Amino acid sequence: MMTARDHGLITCRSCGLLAEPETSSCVRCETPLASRDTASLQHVWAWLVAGLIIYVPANVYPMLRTTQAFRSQESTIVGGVVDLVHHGAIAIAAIVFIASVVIPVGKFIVIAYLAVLLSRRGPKNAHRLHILHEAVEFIGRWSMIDVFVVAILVALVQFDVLASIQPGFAAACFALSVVFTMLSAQAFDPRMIWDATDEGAPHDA
Amino acid sequence: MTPEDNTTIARPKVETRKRSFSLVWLMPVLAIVISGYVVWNNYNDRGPLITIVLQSGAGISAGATEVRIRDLKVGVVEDIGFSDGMTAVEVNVRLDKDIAGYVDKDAQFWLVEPQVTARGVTGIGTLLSGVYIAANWDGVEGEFQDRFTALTVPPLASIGEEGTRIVLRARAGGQLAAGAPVLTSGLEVGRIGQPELSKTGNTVTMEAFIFKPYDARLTSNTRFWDASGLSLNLGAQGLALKVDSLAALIEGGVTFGEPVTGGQPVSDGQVFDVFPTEAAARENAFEANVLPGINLSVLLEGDINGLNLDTLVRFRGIKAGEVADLVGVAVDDGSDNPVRLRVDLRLSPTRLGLSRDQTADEAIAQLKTRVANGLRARVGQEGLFGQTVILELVRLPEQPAAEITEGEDGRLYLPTAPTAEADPNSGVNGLVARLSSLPIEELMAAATDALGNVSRLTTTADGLLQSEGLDRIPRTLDATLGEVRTLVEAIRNGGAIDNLNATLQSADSALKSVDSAAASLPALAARLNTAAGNLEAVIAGYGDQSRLYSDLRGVLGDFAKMAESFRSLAASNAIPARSFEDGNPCVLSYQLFLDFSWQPAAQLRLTDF
Repeated sequence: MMTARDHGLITCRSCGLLAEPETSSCVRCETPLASRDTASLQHVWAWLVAGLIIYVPANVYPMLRTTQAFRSQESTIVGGVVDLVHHGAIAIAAIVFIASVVIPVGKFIVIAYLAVLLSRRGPKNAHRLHILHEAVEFIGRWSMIDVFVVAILVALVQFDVLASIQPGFAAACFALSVVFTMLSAQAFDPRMIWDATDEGAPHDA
Repeated sequence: MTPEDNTTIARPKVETRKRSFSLVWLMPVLAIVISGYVVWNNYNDRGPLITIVLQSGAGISAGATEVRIRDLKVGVVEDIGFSDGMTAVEVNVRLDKDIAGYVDKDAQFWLVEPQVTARGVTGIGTLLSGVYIAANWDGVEGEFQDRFTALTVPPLASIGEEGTRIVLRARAGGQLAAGAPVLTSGLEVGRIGQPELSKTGNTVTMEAFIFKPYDARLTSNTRFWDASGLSLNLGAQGLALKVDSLAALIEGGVTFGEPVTGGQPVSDGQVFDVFPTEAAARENAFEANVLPGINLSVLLEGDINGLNLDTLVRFRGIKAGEVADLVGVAVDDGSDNPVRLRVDLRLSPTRLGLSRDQTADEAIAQLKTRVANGLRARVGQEGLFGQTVILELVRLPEQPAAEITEGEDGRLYLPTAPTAEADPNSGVNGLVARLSSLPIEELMAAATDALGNVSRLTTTADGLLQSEGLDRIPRTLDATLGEVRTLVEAIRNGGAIDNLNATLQSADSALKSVDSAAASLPALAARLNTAAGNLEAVIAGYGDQSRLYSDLRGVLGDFAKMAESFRSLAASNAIPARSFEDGNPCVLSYQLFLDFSWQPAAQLRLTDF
């Protein structure tokens, strides 16, 4: 496989234009150019850690405060899932669980895995890593499904004393956590995957 | 151009980027700081955990049930469990931090559930929101306490509510319930607390709270009376139906008033008696410094019909007290019928002629002296038809010596005398008996004879005077005079004139008396009929299956009988005056009527329906 770097060129990450190595910014879109963003791993780790930290209160504190006829109830993410299961809404519980727990946690693991692999030298399946990265970037936004649900419920269910829903502290934390992990995934420079494979055992085909 | 050149060019840029390394790492630091602050803040804001012991955990759920003071949330139940031995429910409550300082030993907690009472619906919010634990404490910070026992009933007054706490003492068996209103002039000015039965079981005491400023109306002369139910009074003025308030009708309630002015102001804890009726309360108010009643018991043999609670105890004809309780007791004296009726009497010392300054012991000592002089209790009867059983305290010196004895139960027993034989000369029965035994027919025959004699005499005299010999008077004057003289002499000699005069006089006065009596009797009968008519109208309003109906029917029957007896009295308008020792029969019958009207013929409560 041929990379821009192999040809002594720099790819613009924004518009894909190839530039001479002397150029410091893309002539077309003026994006700062770097052959390899070696600092990107730092960014990845920083955002990842921030996302992890903020994910803790997102799970500990209540996501929703439901006031139903004088009676208010606070539910955390996992508590809400358990409640849904108790009410027999297995499908909805599964969706909430996957969107709010499986995906964020999976993202943490995948990003951390990628970052660890890339900082090490050794044989890797570059294609598999690339697909993993694509998947993380694609799926990241879907973690916001929980935040959207909260936002919609809060906006719709406002009937004063009869029923009203307020967002909890966890909603903000969760949204931040998702944003941080998305930034973390974005900070990742996928070109490094190919470098790593190049420098290790040359991949075939 | 070699790849090495490229990397050497690219590297300086990498170097510059490495400086930005610290900036992004600020994010996790910030995240730590923010979440750390939130966690710390949350922990710091947590108030203390207190434990409330409840009898039942009805409707309490962990994490949801709130503790409220003045309907504002000040805490949440964190978890529920049983106390040691599972005798009660323990609820752990996380209180808000800012109010925690006030939770000292004065704090009170109780469970609020929805209640529907006659005075309205309370705690309706709890229907939807579930129960909550209400709290109450003063605004003074004190030593923190973390364990409380919940009250079973809400406190009479919340701390800080101003007013006077008094103690009400009522006869057992009333209808007063916790939360029942205290009324005065129709206003609800207080509440009654949980009634508690006294040890003897005769009285019920309860706390009551009179709100400010109405508590200023309480004085030592204030009298409380039961405003429960409705009272129906039948008297000389007709029928009186009285209902104090709808709430009091259902829940019970007490009313107070001050029949006598000039009482001293009272302070917290003053004990007031609750009288059964307003009349009793007002009557009582004129006996200043009412002593607590003297409680005596009487053991009666045999079956006594008509003896019940509230049966009057009369001393020399005055109401001296009433029957407070009736209990069948077994007495082991080897007789065939070992069961005796123990009648507990509550006597008013002043009505017994005892000094009001005496202590109870002194009063008992004085009573003992009287018993030694022959004071006995016996069952008597009174009323127009002699159908009302009363207890009489009478002096019977001829009775065998006896004394007040103290029973094993600590009660003082008054010696009894045999039941008095019903006086045949009292009541309507006596009246009727005496009337029927009067020699009315002979008297009438005698009067008729006497009148016949008189008219015959008169006719003779007329014939004498109007005879044709009148114009020949000058001639026959001597002869006529001689004849008349002879006649007069004959009459005088025979005593006919004297007889005539006496007969005429007695017949005349008898007729006069009878006339006046007869004139007033129909009026009496008419009044009775009117009263009966009123009653009938009242009765018509109730279903004919109710007890009230049958009770009133009985009263009506009595009325009809009485009216009938008066009517027949009027019909036989030949009652000689001398048959009544008291003179005018009209006066006597009016007294009888008054006697009847003194007794409330029917006093009913709602429970009778």
